[in-house]
Formats: sequence, structure tokens, C-alpha cells
Amino acid sequence: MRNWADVWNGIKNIFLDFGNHWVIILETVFLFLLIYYVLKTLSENNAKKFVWTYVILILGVGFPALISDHFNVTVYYVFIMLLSVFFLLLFSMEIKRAIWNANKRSAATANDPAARTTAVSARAEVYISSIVKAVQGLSKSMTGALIVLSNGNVPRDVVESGVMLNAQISNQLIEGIFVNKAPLHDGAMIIYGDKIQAAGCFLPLSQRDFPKDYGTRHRAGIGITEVADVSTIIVSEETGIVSVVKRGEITRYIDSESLKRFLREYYWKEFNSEGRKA
Amino acid sequence: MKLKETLKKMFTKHVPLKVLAFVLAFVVAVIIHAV
Repeated sequence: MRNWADVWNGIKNIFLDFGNHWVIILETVFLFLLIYYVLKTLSENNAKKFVWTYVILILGVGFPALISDHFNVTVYYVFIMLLSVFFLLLFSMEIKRAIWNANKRSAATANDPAARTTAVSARAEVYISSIVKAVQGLSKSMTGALIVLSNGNVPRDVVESGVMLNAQISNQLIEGIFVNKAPLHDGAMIIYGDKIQAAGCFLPLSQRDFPKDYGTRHRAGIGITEVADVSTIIVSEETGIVSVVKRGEITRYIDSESLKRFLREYYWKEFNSEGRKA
Repeated sequence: MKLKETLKKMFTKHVPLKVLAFVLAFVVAVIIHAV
């Protein structure tokens, strides 16, 4: 165990004898890049609560190390690396998407930002009204439907279990897919931004206890939100009731205004994450 | 022009996060050199 005077002398020595410690600048730059990337990834992916966990863990191991006799610098470095990799792995899909979209983003920022925001806003409103119109139609005709609002993080096997469409969003297409006896009506439709990515997809079922009137469609709609950070819209075949699910929590009896708000939240979050809106 | 925009973005985007990351990086570097 080292005493505080030794620790203080050690710190003072860095600045008094900077010629021998100039490498601290390079280390600070390297650590800054690593730590900033982790913090940015956490804060951009609704995981702000982990920002302080990450900071406290790094400092929490560092300060006891200062007064310990058996401290090994390499072990501390490895600890910081492993901790950073652990937090980055939690958002591997989001990082992959950011890398894929990097070129797209730089091309987009070359345009006038104000005009772009207005155009994106107008387009988002068109998609929202198409989805709301389709859901209203499905609810009125008591046609069961399950729509997943993806952020690009739906597991690949789920997307590939259905039929890839990559079609433009339109209320006629959404209603057409869910018509009884249509080949794809039984599975889930995945909407990703401005496209209907796939339809007829099989989702994992939630294993929690639910009221008896929740059928397989509701269990699937809740189940996917438990394994991926997505939202779902469910139209009951028996009652025509519209429900929305977010993070495993279902809200029933959704009217068109609430559905619009729900979709706006989805679209603006999505556009923010792609850097298209300020 | 592009360089100016990049530099502007560098100093205006995610400023609190950058400050936090820099302070943390510096503290860690000092810890490593002080022992």
C-alpha cells in the first residue's frame, strides 16, 4: 500500500519532468478516441444510463490502483479495452449500420440542411398517414395484422424467415398483404424507415403470462420487442382493437391520433440516428 | 469550405461528451504514469 504523499509526488513528477513523460499526450489522444467513441455509441442508442456506469468503472478501478503496490499498468489497459469492447458489442448492429450509412450520410450533408429536413419531414408524414390509413382499414374490417417498426436491428433470421419486399410504403400494399387467405397475411410485416422490408416473417413468441384474449399474434408482437429494440403495431383479428408494443409493454385501444404520435416518435428517432435531422 | 465545416462540426457536436471523454482519458493517462 502506497501512502498519499508518494502518489502526489508521482503525479507532480509527471508535470515537473514532462520531457520523460511526453508520451502521456499520445496516450491521452488514443484513450480520448476510444472513450469518446464508446460514450457516443452509448448516448446515441438510448443507453445514456450506461455512460456513467462506464465512467465510474474506469475510475473505480483506476483510483484504488494508484495506492496499490501490486498495480500493473498492462492489466489496467486490458481492463479498459475489454470494458470498451463489451459496451460496443452491445450495439454491434448499430455500429455496423453507422458504417454502412457513412457514405450515404456524407453525401446527404452536402445538400442544404434546411431543405433536406423539410423534405424528410414531408416524406415521413406521407409514410405515417399511409400506415395509419392502412391500420384503420384493417381494424375496421377486423383483419389481423402485425407490423414491426425496425431500426435495422431485427435479427437477420427473423427478416429472412419471410419474403423480402423492399417496397415503397403504401396503405394499399399494407392492407393487401394482410387480407385473409393472402399468402403472407399470417406473418409479420417489417417496416424499416421508408420501406416495407419484408412480410410473412416469423417472430419469437413472448413466454410471459398474458390475458387469455391475447393470441399468438399478440405474443409474437410482444416477443420481438423483448429481444430487439423495435416497436410493433398489432391489429386484433377478433376485435379489431389496435395495440402498440414498446420494450415488451403493450398499450391497447390506440386511436389514430395516438398511433400518429407513436409513428412520429419512431420516424424522428430514426432520422435523428441517421443524422438527417438536426 | 469542407474543412471549415468539418472543424466547425468537430467543436459544436457532442461537446459535453467530448469534454467528459477528454477529462477521463487524461485522468487515466495520469494514473498510468503516476504509478
